[in-house]
Amino acid sequence: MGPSSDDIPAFPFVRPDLGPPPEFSDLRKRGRLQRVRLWDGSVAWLATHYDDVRALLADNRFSADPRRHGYPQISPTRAREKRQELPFFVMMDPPDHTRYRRMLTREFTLDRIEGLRPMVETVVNQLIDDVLQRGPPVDLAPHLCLALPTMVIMNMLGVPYEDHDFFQGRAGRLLSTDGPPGDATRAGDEMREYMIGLLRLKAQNPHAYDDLMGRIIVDQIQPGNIGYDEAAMLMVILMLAGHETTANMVGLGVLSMLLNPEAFATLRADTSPETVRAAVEEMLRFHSIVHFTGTRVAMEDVEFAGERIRAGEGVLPQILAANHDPAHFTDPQKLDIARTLMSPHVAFGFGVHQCLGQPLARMELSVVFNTLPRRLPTLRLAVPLEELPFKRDIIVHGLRSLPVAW
Amino acid sequence: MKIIADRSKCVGAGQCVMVARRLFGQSPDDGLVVINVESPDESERGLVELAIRSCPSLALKVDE
Repeated sequence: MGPSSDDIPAFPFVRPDLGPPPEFSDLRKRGRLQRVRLWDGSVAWLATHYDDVRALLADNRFSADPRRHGYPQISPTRAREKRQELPFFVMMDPPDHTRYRRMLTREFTLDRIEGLRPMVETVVNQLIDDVLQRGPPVDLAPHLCLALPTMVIMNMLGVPYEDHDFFQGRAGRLLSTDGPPGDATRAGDEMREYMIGLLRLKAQNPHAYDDLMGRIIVDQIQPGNIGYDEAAMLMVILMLAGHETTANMVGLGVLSMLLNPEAFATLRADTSPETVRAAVEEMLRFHSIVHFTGTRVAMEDVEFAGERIRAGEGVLPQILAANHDPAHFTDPQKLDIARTLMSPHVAFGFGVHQCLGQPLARMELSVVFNTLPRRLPTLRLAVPLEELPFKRDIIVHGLRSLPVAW
Repeated sequence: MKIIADRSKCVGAGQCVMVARRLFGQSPDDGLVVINVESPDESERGLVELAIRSCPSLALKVDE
């Protein structure tokens, strides 16, 4: 299809460093569902209203499976990565998705994650010790933001931490929106092969491992519920989710504090769980970093918001737009850590695919924002804001580096 | 007011527990919802409604 002569806007919009693209508020005023045009000329439905985003994400007539005809691909790179024999379960629909997800749900209950808090506190304090020892300026992106969730998820799964470089490099390639052809698939395959090897090794004596991998071997592989390839798929998605999302959220959260001295002062003075929790929720809402999370395709004709979405048409419910909908969040463009949420934000998505690891992410973030302001009370940016490199070529928003001084 | 949870819909996201820990829990066996207080006091209706609205898989409702 050639250049369009109509007024259908091209999507995705350029995301500013902080806050949502201005197009969202324009489109929100125009109506509930808008047509947008993707790079391949195809047209999909964009939703920007909070209630609509939630309704679409909770509606199982829409599929999350990129192999389905009409699934809206946001870039050529992503379009090429759709043919996996065994996709990640986040790209499956019920009942397959339900079966895999339920093998993991008990690992991420709020109680179980709360039990990991002392371990996370130890890790955060060690990492801050290391930052202090290095002396200013220090780039927090590798030394705190990425190191923390990497150490925590590897500890939970039972993957040796010395292999973190292997995973970090491949995680970046897998999530890239403009890498070389086939590179994302190759990176994913290498991670799966690694996990199959480690699972087989542990399977020789699985009860010796008090970790998620040991339990998956005993509870799922040995009874014959799943094979090694399926277990490896589960482990890789947990590794990925643990790497990129929390790391980016820690970085943007710290930046938010440095740009809002009053908020930073509040967190220095008041480390009560309620204050820290409200601040973390506001950072999650404001940044909504996993902004492409809700990409779906209709499996049947659906009447919605006065339009007929036909089977095979893509829908793009935007969590970043929903979380900045002024009908639900007063002055949404303002980062207000004392905000009382009248509506639950959708930074972790909505529907059956809502983030499984969110209690872990929240706990890690709460430890960071309970500890960092106290231990580095004079923290400041070591470079001007305009020089901070934001990620532009990956499906998760974040900072490539965050140089700080104190 | 009686809380009804459809465990076949539950995805173990824990939103109900986060909103109202006294009323909801998660089974340590499968991570899915358990109701701690089946018929909460009328004074907790706001909390129950927030839990229902927070559930991503629409697994909760109240029977009046």
